[in-house]
Amino acid sequence: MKRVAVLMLGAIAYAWWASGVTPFTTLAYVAVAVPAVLVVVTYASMGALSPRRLDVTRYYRARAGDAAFKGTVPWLTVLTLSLALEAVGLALGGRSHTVPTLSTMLDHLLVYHWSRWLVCLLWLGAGAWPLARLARRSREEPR
Amino acid sequence: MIATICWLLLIVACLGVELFARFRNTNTTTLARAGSLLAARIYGRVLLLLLWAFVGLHLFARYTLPGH
Repeated sequence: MKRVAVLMLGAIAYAWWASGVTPFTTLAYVAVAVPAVLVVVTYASMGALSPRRLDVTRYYRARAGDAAFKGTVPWLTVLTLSLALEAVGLALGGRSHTVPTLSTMLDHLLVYHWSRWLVCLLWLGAGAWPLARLARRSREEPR
Repeated sequence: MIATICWLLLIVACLGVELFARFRNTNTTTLARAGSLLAARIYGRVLLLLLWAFVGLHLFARYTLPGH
């Protein structure tokens, strides 16, 4: 519990620092690369990137439950519509005011440091979430 | 303006699909279960990781302030 609190505080501080780094600088790329490499290495060390670890595959299948491709059609429809709108926005130069891309819209949300910090924290959380779930599974049912 | 409304409608549609999947007894899957379905295969896990890394790179390393 104490370790989780320390990790969370670390992530909050890291997100504050990383979201304040000037974009398009080497430091900005490093600030994104460090958590990305950490997540990939940890995920791989848990066996999630190995085709031989059938327990990981079984775990995700169990979490998916009786979900089937048919049930994902509404999500795929929203994704297809988003991609179409993004494609139109990109075809118009990517910075069109009439048809903005998703990034252009998000850029306006990311003007302030506090909003960039929140989004950065969400991004770090999204990366850490599957690791936490897999770690919990390993504790509950060792292979 | 219309495209901005379309983006907002798509976000609302995502929330709607999620709520519908959670609170109605239908075949529609929640986003978490759809993600698990994708992660059940190794290329799905790799794809999700690449997508996550791309989002971070795009939003924080290659972020352009509006008007610049």
